[in-house]
Amino acid sequence: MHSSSTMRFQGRLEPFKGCGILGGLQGTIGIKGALPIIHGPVSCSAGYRMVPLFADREPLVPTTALTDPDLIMGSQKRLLHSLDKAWEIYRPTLITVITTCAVSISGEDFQAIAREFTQQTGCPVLIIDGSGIAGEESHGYKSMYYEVRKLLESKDDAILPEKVCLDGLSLTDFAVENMHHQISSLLKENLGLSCGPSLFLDFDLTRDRVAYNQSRSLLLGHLWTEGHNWQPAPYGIAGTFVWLKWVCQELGLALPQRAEGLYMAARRILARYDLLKITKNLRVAIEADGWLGIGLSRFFEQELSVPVMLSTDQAGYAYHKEDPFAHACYEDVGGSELFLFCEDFQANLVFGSSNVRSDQWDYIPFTPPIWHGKEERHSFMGYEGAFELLDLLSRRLDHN
Amino acid sequence: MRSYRGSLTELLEEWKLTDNPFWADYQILGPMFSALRIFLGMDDVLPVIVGSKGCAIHLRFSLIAWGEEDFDLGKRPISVLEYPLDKIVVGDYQITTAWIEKMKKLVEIRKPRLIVLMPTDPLTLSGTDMAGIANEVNTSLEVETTFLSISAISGANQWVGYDAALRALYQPLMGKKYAKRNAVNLVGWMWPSRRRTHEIGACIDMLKTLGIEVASIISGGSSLKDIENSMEAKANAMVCAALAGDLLHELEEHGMKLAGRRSPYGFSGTTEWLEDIGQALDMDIKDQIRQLALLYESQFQANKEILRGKKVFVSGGPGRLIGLLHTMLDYEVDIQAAALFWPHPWSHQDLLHMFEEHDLKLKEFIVSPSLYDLEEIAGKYEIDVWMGGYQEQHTCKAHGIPFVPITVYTVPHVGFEGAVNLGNKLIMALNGYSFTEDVFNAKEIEPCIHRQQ
Repeated sequence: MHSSSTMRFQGRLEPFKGCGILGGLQGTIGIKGALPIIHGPVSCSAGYRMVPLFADREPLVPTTALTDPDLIMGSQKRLLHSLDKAWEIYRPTLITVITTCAVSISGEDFQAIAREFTQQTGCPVLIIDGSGIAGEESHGYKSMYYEVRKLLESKDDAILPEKVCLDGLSLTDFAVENMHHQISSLLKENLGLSCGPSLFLDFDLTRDRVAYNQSRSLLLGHLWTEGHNWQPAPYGIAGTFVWLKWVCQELGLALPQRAEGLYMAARRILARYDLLKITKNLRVAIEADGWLGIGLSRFFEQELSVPVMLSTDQAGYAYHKEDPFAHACYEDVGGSELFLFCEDFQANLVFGSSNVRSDQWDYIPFTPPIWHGKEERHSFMGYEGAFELLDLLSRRLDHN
Repeated sequence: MRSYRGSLTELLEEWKLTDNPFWADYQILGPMFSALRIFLGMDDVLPVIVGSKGCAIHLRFSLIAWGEEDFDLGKRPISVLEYPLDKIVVGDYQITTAWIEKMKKLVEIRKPRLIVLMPTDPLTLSGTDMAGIANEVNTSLEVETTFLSISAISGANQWVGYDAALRALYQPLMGKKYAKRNAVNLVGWMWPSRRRTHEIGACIDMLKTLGIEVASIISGGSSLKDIENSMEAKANAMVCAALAGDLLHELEEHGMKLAGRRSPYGFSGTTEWLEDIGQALDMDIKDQIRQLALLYESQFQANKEILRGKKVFVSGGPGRLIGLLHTMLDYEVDIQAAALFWPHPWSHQDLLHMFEEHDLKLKEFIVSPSLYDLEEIAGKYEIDVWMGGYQEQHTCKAHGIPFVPITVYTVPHVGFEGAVNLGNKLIMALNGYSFTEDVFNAKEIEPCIHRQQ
C-alpha cells in the first residue's frame, strides 16, 4: 500500500491541480438535478463555471458572492437566504454548498443551517470544504463521494455478486464515455461482470439508489487511492491483465480462464506490431491524474520501452516515488511551466490538457481542460484501447 | 452582489440595486481576473499569485476561455507562491530557495521589468505583510516588485481589480511631469494583438484615417515604457469602457482628458466617440468622420431594411452593452429587454445618456443577471434574435432563439464597420446560421472593411 505524501511541491511555479472547489463540482455535476452553491467571493465561482462546460452542461455555478463586509458580519444568514432562493427557483434534488478560502479563514459553521434547511424542504445539503489552502482538488471529490454514500446508505438491499459500480469517474473527465465503455466491456468480457449506476455519472438519487446499493464498488479514477491496494488504470496489454487480476482480488473472485485466454490472444495480436519501428525515437510527456498518468506511463515505459516524462497529482507522485519507472516524474506541475518541461524533455508526443497543446509536438488531448471541442476523445483503455493507441502511433509514423 | 430587474425608467430615477445572495452568474470574472489580465497582456510584467493555488487554476481556465484561441495568452506563465493553511496560521511566509531558483529561470526567459504579487483571500484577510514578501522577492530576483492590496473577496465584479491594476502601473508616474503631445491613448484592450481584424486594429485604423495619433494602448500588448509614454497623450479614450478605474479621473488632473467614454459602437456611438476625441485634441474632424461613415452607409441601410422592428434581447458588460444599444437603436430594432452583466460607476450616467439622447426604450432591464433571469426572459418575450455573452447560447438553444454571441473578438464590432458586421451577424442568425461551434468555440464570419480612396 502506498501512502499519500502531504508535502507540497515547494519548487513548483504553476500547479496542474486545483482546489477542492473543482473536486466538489466534479461530483455535483454528475448527480441529476443537483445544484452547487459556491459560498464565497464571485471569483471562486466565476473561474470554475467552466467545469460544467467540460460535461457539455450549462455553466450553472451559483454563488453567494461574498465580499469583505459579509464576512465581517458573518455569512450564515446569507447562505440561508441563498439556499431558500435556490430551492424556490430550481427545486434541486441535492444542494452542495462548497466553501472557499475566505470562509475557511472565518471558521463559521454551516452544518446547522444545512440541517435546518433540509428539515424544512426535504432537500439534502452537503457542506464541502473547497478551500485551496486546506485541501486539493481530489479532497473535494472524495468529500462529495463519502457524503453522497451516506445519503444512499441502506441495509435492506442485498448484494448481487455479478454487479459492480465504477466509482471515481466524473462527467467532467475527458473522454469519460469512452473510458466507461472500455472498462465495462473489459469487465463483461473477461470477468462476466455487469456495471450498475456509477456515482457522479448522471446518477439519479432516487431511481439509482437500489441498483447502486445492490452492487459492489470498484474504486477508480479520482478514488483510486481510497482502497488498500492502489491500482492504476488499465492501459497496455500487461497493464490491463494486472488490472483485471486486481479487480478479482478486490471482489474476492477467482480469475476466470476466459480472462487468461483473452490476455494471451491480446499478446498474440501485439506480437504482430512492429513495435521497434512504431516507438523509435519516441519521447512521451504525459499530464494526467495519478490513476490515468501512472497507467499510461507504465504502458509506454514498461511495455513499449519509450521514455516518459509525467506530471501528475500528489497521489500519482507518491505512488511513483515508491516504485519509480518513468524517466522523469513531477508533482502537480502544469501551465506554461510544464510546457517548458516538455520542451526540455524533447517530447515529440504529448498527452495532456490544452495548456500543453502545441505545433511543436504531436498532441493528444487527455486531461481537462480541453478547450477544443473538435478534438478526438480517445481513452486508450483495455486491450482494445492499447491497439487503438498503437494504430494511432503507426499512423503518426506514416504521416511524419 | 447588487442587482436589479424591472423597468429602465425606475432604475434610472433612483439607481437602487438590491442585494442578491444567490447569483447564478455566467459572465462576471471577479477582481483577480481583471487585474491579472491587465498584467498578463503586457510584455514585461510578471504576475505572481500568492497564497492559494486554486486561484491560479481557475484564473487560467478563464484566461484561456477568454484569450487562448484568439490571442494565445494561454502559454504565458501564471506563477504561484503557495502558502498552505498551516503556514498562514503561524504567519510563516518564508520563501523557499527552490521557488526562488525556479523564478530566476523564469525571469531569465521572460525578462520582466516588474513583478506584481497578487494576494489571494487568505492573505488579505489575515493581514499578511505583502510589502515584506515583495521586498524579499525583489531582493532575491533583482526585479522591481510590487503588490496589490485586493483579492477575490474585495469585490463582486471586475471593478476593483481594474482600478488596483491601473494604479499599480500608474502610481509611480503620477508625481512626474511629462511634455504633452496631440495624441490619444486607447484604454481597455486586454490582448497583445494589433491586428486590423481585431477591435484594437479597427480603432487604430479609424483614428489614423482621421489623422489622430495613438500614443499607447492600455494595456494589452504594451510595455511599462508604453505606460509611461501614455502620460504624454492629451486624452484617454475607451476601447472598452468596462476597464475604467477611478484613476482615469485622476489622470485628468495630469492633463489627460477622458474622451470617448462610451465604446465606439454603431453609427451614432462611433460618431460621438470620434467627435469627443477630436474635441479633446482641439481637432475639427467632423467632415472626415462623415466621409468615413459614408463608406459603410449603403450596407448599413440595407441591413436596417431587414432588421427594423425585429424583437431583440441584448446583454453586455458596462462598456459593450452601451455600445450594443447604440447599434440596436441605429438599426431601429424593437428591444424587448436588456441586461448589464455588472454595473460600474459610469453605468447610471451612460444609460441615462442612452435614454435621454437616443430615446432608449425597452420593456425590462436587468443588472447583474443570473441564468434563471435569462430563462424567464426567454419564456416571457417573443424574441426574434438574441445578442449576448457566449454562455447565453444554452438559454437560446433551449428556447430555439437565434443567437449572436457578442463576446467574440475576431470580427470588429466597433466603428462604422462594426455596425455593419453586427447587422450582418443578426441577419445571418435570423436566417438560421449558428455562431456556436461548441460550448467553448465560436464560428466567425468575414469582416467588412472598406478604405477611403
